[in-house]
Amino acid sequence: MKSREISSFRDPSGYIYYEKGKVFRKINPSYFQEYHHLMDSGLYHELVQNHLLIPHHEIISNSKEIILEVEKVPYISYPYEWSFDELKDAALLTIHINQVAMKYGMILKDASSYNVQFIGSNPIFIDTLSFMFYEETSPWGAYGQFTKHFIAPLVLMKYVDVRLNCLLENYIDGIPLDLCSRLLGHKGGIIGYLHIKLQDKSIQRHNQDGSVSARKVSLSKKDILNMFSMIERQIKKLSLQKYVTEWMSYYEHTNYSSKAADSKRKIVKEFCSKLSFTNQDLIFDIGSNDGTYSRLIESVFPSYVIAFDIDSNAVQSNYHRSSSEQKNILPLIMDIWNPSSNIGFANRERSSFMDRGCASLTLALAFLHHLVISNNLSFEMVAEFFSKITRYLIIEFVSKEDSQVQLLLQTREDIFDFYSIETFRRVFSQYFDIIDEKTIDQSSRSLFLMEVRDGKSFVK
Amino acid sequence: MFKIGCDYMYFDPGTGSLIIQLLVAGVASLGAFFALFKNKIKNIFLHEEKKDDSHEK
Repeated sequence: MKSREISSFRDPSGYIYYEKGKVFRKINPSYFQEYHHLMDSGLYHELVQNHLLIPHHEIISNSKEIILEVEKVPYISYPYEWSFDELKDAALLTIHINQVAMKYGMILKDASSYNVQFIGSNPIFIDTLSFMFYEETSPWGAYGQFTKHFIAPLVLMKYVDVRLNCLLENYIDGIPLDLCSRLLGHKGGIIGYLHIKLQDKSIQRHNQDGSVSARKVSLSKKDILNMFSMIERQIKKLSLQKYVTEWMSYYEHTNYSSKAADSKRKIVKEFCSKLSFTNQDLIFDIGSNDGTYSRLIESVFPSYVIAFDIDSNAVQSNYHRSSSEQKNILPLIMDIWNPSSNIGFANRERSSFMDRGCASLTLALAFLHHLVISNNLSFEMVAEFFSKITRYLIIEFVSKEDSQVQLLLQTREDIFDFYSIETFRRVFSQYFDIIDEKTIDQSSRSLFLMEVRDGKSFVK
Repeated sequence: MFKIGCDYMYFDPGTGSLIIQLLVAGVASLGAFFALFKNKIKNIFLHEEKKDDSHEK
């Protein structure tokens, strides 16, 4: 059965639909001319060859209809889940595509950050219908959108607080420039002044008098190209100050002895050897920190690993490493206590974490005690949550005697009488079959391999 | 007093964004011109230095 992607309503040129697990794009006749130019001019070929645009092949192509089958993105992510450098790379990709398109007489008609997705740690442009003919002397119509979707969050993350990309979840069409300008105050550097503050003033001024017609704005091709080069340089120069947070160096500063760390790695590998996955399977690493175990898992299975962490800097550090090592890992910012929700029109444009698909395997290492002790979640709530997002689960139980748990209990009353390995085992058994259980050497921690009840078996 | 951005509801903010592009593109083109000018001056000096080097040899 066909199901139409609701967020496609924004584009009159066509829409995306899904059928039998495949992704299709129907192109409306009003866009045929542009589409044929994209394909025949060599632009599509250059972009796809350089892994800048999602590839497709034509299923139907005649004078009445064009339907494409588009390569599937393994896991859809959104800009409010990206670290600073992921958003920066997505912005640079958008500008670069414009520069390439201009060579072929085309330009992007929109510059939404949702037009970029990640495959592993590589950004890729997914909206094949975003290209329009470049008209000599016309300014770039998507400049305002580019500012709200990319420049505004980047300067806020750099100059105010790295967590401010969360505003993108509230403002689905980018951060309003008046809000960004107010949050920046006197900060923002030249990029903030030029693109945010002056643009905001220009918007406010022309809102008030309405005297200047946009038709009077005329720019040469050279001016537009110079503008793209300047924006590219300005964005490349933006970088976060280097600082270390708790989670990004977690595995360098744990309470594990080296023997315990070795033992933990060995057990995880042993559990993995009991399972078999393909490149179609998704693996979640929840509370992934710097991605140490995401990389271990990625080396064992051909599957795609999504590494979630609440700490933007840990995600950034993981992204850098995965990107340089060309790993099949997508690091994302996610607060599991308050994961991304369904947003947009009728709450159906961008999917929540829970609606975006399940994993074949989930790793939840050194994570349970944070859910239960720091956030008062019961074992039942945690077990039910995991049973909804994964088929297999490798989970670490950290006992109350462990120094990290003691640290959590130092500042709060110990109301967690139920917190024991016996209760954990009993409660999780209501949702999962426990396949294996091992104690980590020289520690008061245990690892469990579980399979959700009534799940399709992947055990070798 | 701050003006809250709800006015955008009745106004296409695109106009202000298009107009500011004149300034942004102007700054970019000016920058490109100076960069070109700087490179030309640099090349003249490098050329002179090379000439001097070949004379010394």
